[in-house]
Amino acid sequence: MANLIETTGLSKRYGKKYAVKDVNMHVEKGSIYGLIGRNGAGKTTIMKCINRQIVPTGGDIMLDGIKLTRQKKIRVGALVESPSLYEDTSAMQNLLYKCTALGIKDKKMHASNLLEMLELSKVKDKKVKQFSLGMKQRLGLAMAMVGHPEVLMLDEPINGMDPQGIAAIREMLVHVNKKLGTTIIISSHILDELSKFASVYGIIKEGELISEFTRETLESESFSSITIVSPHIDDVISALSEKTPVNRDMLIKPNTLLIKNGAQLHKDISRLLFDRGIYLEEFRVDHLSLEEYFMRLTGGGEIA
Amino acid sequence: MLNMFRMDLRRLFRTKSLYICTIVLMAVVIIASVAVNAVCKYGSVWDIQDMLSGFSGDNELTTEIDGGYSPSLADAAMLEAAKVKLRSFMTLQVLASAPFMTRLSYMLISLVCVLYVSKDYITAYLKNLLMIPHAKTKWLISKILMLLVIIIFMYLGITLASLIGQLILGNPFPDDFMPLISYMAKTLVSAISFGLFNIFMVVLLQKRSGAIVICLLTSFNIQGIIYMLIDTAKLLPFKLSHYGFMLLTYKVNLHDPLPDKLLPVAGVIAGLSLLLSFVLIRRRDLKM
Repeated sequence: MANLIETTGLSKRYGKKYAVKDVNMHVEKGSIYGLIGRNGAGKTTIMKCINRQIVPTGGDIMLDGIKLTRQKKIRVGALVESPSLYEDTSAMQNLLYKCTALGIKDKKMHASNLLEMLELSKVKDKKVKQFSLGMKQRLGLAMAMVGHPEVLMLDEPINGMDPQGIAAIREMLVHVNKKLGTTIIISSHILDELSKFASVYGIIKEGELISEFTRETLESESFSSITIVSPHIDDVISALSEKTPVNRDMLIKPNTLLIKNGAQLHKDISRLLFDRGIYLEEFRVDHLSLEEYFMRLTGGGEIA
Repeated sequence: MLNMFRMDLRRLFRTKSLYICTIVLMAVVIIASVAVNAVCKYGSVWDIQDMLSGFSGDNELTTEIDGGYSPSLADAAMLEAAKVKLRSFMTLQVLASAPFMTRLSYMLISLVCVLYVSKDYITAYLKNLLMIPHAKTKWLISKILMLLVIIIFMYLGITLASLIGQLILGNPFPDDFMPLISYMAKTLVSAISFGLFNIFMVVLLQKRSGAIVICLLTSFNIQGIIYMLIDTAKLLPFKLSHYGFMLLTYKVNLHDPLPDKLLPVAGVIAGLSLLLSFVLIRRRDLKM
């Protein structure tokens, strides 16, 4: 699929220090792109550049094949850092202002639909300053979604939300992605949550994009171990030693074998044991979580 | 562009500071009318004379009363004549000039403008609008148009207050608005230029407090002290104070034409403010 957003050598420098350096990012149309990195890695800076909030020092940003500065058709809705709202105005009014600025015809209906989608209908006339952090965050999301932009860019959108709220936002984002084909770029420090719906991941470290991989790649490359439980564990070891180096030292329990290296051979191993007719109580392939994969790639450290 | 303007217009008329500042300006005019009326009712010839010189700024009108007056000859007829003189002097344009003479109008117009424009920075609402093509330029143009709306709104407020003032003084409803329009047109030059300068300050600083401080300091002509220092030190081949925008603005009055240098100076300030604002909004990062 064609890239909707593509950055080439994107850089942003503050004084002598690079916040983002030579980033070549590829966001496919209709994908959900998870941007992962430690605090200060440069995720927000990339988003701000794409949102035209800051001017890059170098490199290009192409939006649907056209330079960002010349692109007029593709609209980017963004919630970068904290939501930007008029606090002394109601939620409805905040949305209506943006609807007016965008020239949306049936703005009241559009704003009402967004409020309903984000479960804010009941508080639509309440002033924003009376909102909780989670409610503000949801309203910020609604603001980003005004006019159904082709690209939705969300920086830590689930900050301050309760578990139900997080699940609702996840479902809503997946719905918007599937139904409207909205391309979503999202950063979150809750990698477990991100791994539930992102289709592509970009890992950024110290301002550089060190890896871009799909969910499929993550699943195929992130095998961590195979756990085999059998009452005939000696037969298992004897059979497997022909394929991969296994020995009794790898027993974590008297009848449980843990193979850490060579987990990618899980298909061959299961077929071999099946062919030999060895009875197994359990055969489990464990994957690295997105967080563990991130740690492996970046050499550990704090996330987001 | 029209949509952005619509949004701004909608928001402007929900801005409290616009109404508060307009009410303050109207209050100045109405209080002046009440004061004049009180002097007419209870004041002496001397009080009337003081008031006339205070409003007119020259002695021509006061000498008219002075001419035939001596304390020993003071009588009711003389006092009555002075009262009539004062009431008739208090035309629509004289009353409307009160907030301009006190320099309050320029300050309050710019203050409303700064408060309104800077709100998009302090709330970072401008971020929401960046999805619109050429959003920053459109945003700035819209804000400049809002400055004009603010000025028109406040001028209308002053006019209304002046009309109320006329009623308070018991003067007939004015049938000629041209002198008022002519006077306001003269003050408009400074109001627009000063407003644009303050919009530039908001765009430059991207902060409300800093822009307000500069707005207040410049409206009180604090820069005049610096001009005086430069002139005293003879750092320039000409007297900078002769070109001081606020000093020239203070010279705008009802009777005289616009000060010679005001139009070019205001033009330069407005032009530079516009140019720099557009360059800054397009080239600089939004710190939000």
